[in-house]
Amino acid sequence: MKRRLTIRGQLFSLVALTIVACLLSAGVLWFRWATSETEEYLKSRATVLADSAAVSIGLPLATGDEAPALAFIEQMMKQDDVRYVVVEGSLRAEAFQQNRGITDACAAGSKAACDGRIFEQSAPMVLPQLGDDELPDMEVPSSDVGSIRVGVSSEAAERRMAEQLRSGLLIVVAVGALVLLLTLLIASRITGPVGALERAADLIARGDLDQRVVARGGQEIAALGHSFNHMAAELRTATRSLGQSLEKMQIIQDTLGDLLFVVRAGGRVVVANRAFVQATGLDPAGSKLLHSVDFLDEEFASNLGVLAQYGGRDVDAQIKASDGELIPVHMSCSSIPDPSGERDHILCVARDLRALRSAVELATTQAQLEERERTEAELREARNVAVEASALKSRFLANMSHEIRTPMNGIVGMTTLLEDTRLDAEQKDCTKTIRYSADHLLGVINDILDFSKLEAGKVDIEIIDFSIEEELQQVMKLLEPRAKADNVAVTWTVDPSIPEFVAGDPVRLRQILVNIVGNAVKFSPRGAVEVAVEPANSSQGGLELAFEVRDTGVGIKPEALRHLFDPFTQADDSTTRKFGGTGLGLSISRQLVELMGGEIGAKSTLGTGSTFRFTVHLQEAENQEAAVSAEPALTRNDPSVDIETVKVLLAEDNPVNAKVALRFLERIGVHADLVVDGAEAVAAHQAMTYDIIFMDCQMPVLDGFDATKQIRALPNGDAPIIIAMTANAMKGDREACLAVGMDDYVAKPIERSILDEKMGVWARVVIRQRAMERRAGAQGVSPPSRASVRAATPDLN
Amino acid sequence: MDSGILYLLVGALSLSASPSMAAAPDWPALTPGASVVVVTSSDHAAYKRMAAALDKSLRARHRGVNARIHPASEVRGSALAGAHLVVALGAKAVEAVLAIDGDAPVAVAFAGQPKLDGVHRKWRGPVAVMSRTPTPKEKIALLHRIAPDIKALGVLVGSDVPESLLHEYRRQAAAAGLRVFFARPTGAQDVHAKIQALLPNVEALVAEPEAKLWDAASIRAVVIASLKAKIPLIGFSKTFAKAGAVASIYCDDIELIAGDLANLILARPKEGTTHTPSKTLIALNLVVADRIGLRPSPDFVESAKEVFR
Repeated sequence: MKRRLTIRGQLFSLVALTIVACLLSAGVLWFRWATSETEEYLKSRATVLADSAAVSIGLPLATGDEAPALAFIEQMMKQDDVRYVVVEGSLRAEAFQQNRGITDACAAGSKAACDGRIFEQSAPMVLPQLGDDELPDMEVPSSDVGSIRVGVSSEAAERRMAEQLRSGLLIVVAVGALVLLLTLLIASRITGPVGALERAADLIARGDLDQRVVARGGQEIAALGHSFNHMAAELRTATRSLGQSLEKMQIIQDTLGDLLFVVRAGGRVVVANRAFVQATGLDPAGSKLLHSVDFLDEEFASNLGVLAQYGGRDVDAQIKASDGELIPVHMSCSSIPDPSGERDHILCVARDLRALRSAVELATTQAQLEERERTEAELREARNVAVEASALKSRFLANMSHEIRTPMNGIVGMTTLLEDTRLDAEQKDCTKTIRYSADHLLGVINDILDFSKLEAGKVDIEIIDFSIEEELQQVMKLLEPRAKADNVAVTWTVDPSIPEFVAGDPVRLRQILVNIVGNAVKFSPRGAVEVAVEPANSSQGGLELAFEVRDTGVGIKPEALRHLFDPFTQADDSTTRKFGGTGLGLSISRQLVELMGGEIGAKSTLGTGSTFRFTVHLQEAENQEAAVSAEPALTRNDPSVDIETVKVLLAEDNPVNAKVALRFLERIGVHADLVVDGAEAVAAHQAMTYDIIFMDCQMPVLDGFDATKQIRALPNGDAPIIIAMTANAMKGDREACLAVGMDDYVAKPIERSILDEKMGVWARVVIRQRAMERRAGAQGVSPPSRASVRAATPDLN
Repeated sequence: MDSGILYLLVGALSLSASPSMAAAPDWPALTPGASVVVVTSSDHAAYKRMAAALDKSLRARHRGVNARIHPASEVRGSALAGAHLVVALGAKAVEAVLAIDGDAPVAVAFAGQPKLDGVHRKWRGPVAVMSRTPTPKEKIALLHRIAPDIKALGVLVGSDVPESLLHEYRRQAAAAGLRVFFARPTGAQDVHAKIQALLPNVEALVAEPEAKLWDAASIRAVVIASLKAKIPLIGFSKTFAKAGAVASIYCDDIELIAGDLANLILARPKEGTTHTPSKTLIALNLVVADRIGLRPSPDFVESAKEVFR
């Protein structure tokens, strides 16, 4: 390894080299100058001597006065450097020729014969002007005087120059040595503090930032020391600040959820944050060097620089973890310029899309849940609206039913009463027509109400035991007048395999049969209608019966047959005009059949007749014995009941209904007291205990329900049998009445037969109760409560 | 008495005593309107004063005569054409005039001895010369008074001085029992080398006045050489003595009487004659004398015009 010189060495070397160079240069220059000067001197020397000799010996030579000339020449020859003096061009030139230390040949002008360097100068000898006092009066051409040559050796001069050179060298060496010594001293003085600075700098570099130096030495060195100490203090401050910044950066890096790494230009990863290490299992601080190709696609890794240069943002990539898992990421890279301004580091931040996707899925699930909840809420809201609407509809239907039945009760009741009066034939026909119209209107109303209830889902199928044959008899009995009127023969058969008693909803079954058989009778004038009941082939369990109604009527067009069971549909527009009807009957029948788990269909041949067939699911009745009606209907002058002793109260606000009811009761010998609201009913019963109270439900002041409650709360409150008599004929109305303590329920319009039946039942209960009370009184025991007696009464409902 | 006036009187007596003064057939008489050209070596103030004095003197004595004054650098070609009289003041003025081929009468003032021969030889017209330089005899005499024991003399002269000056030195030196050696530098820069070549043979130095030889550097060189060799140096001006020559001999104030001198020349012209100063001054530098081991006698010192101690 090449060792670098110390500052002192460099300074010393620099000075030494400078001195040597200067001395060499000066020596060369001096040598050249000295050589030149010597040559110049020798030339001048020869010139001076020649010129002087030419003046001094010219006249003696011309005048023949040789002694002074010779003396002059000899005097010249005494000089060390003068080698020869030669006079030429004179008659006695040879007499004046002298030389010393050289050969004659050299003196004669042959340079080759000279030993050493000879500088020669010649000068023409000159004479004083003519007329001069010294010059004899003679003609002496100056050209004949001749010339003189003087040769001067360089030996002495060069010797002198050599001596000077030696002296100069000694001086130079001495001066050089002195300068070098001074240089060493100065260098030591300079480098001493510099060395201290170096040691202090080394300690600082090793981390001892508290290191300081004592500022000594020259002004610049002292200033350097002060600057060094200031720099060290600044460095300590900066280092602490940097350390804090690095700690913050480390915290930021480790807090960053994204994967962060820094790659050098060569691909080596130098920094990676905690998220990167945890996600990939790769750590650049580990024992093995980590390169970008270790976790990035090779081509992608090689293009990181380009990506960073052009500000790559959110580039899709994959990072391969140590376990081989490919982590999908969005990666952004930037170049980090180093202090030299070159961009040799690349900072990349990668967002782990796994977490993002999970978050997206979670958000999606959350959104779905919220959507579902919102949908459910909307559904609930819709349901509530629907329920509310349904409730409103139900209330409307109930009100409609009540409001229609109330006047219908008057019409039907009064017509019934009118028929019992003495009438002529025309009057009877009128009452009959009224009665028919009322019944028809009531049927229409009932159809509409039923249809509405079915649409509203308000129809529930009851399961009670009943007899199929009995129901058929009831239907036939109901349709008999129409059949007779239209001369239609109606027959019916029940398959013997069918149990006599079944469990189901006899009312709805009767409604279906009345509708379909009624249609068959209606559309088969002078024809025949056959009703057959037989078991149906059903894969379902239970008892499924098939009812088939065949007629020989007008038949139905095929195109009308498809919409036969749709609401408000009839086989032909002319049907309504010809046969009447609302078009709701078959639709109601289909819905009732479906409610009972069956199906309904029709076949028809126009002009020949039609066959309707429907099935219903029933159950076999557990008790196959005939359900015997507990009590017969009460009739006038019935010997079994002392009807006049039964105290009856009628609470009815409608005068027509009150009149109808009172007349019906009177027909069977019952005299009832009338009150017009619930409060009066309570007061009346409080004043006199009644046996039976017919209670209208909707009355002013106090309705029937509250009146019942108040009556039941009286001391004699359990005495009366309270029978609701109301136009509230909707489902639930009966239950509502029983719930407040009523005992029975009669729907308006009141059928006289039904009223008679109710009265028969409950009058006998009253009589029986009285008997029990008498017996208990005779036996001295407490009579059973009327409530217990009523509870023991067979179900009349 | 003022030295200038004294010199004038001495000069006048000297001129009037000259046997050849009456013979001046070629010298023109200055009639009114005659053209007189005065050439000065330079436009230095001293020369201007001299020219003005000359002009004033001419007009005072010759009615209607005015002088045209030109420095030497302006004298070209036909500058002297038509001149009835040319007066050259200073060595450069002489050189400038001689460079022109003319035949007008020329009065030359202040030229050194060597120049005089040249003027006489080259100029075709009548010439009257006034020199300001002491003769070699006076200088050797001065040298003997300062250093009576010397045997060899070195003379520093210009390379183009006439041989007559050299022979005058040879003759006066021989008369004084001295050997004389001549160094003839070609210019001021050659002075040092020539002195060094001369020193091994001489025991004293004499510096002859020559414009192209002497400047501060060459004067310093010759002074240093004399001091190192411890040989006396005779200079030619008071300034030379002050600079380091042990003694100088000179005619210091001749320029102050230039006009009168010119009139003397015109009044009594004689071609080929040279009017030399009969009164010289001496300056002594006792510091240098002491350095080179000389002890001038008190009387000699007393007679010196300037003494630098």
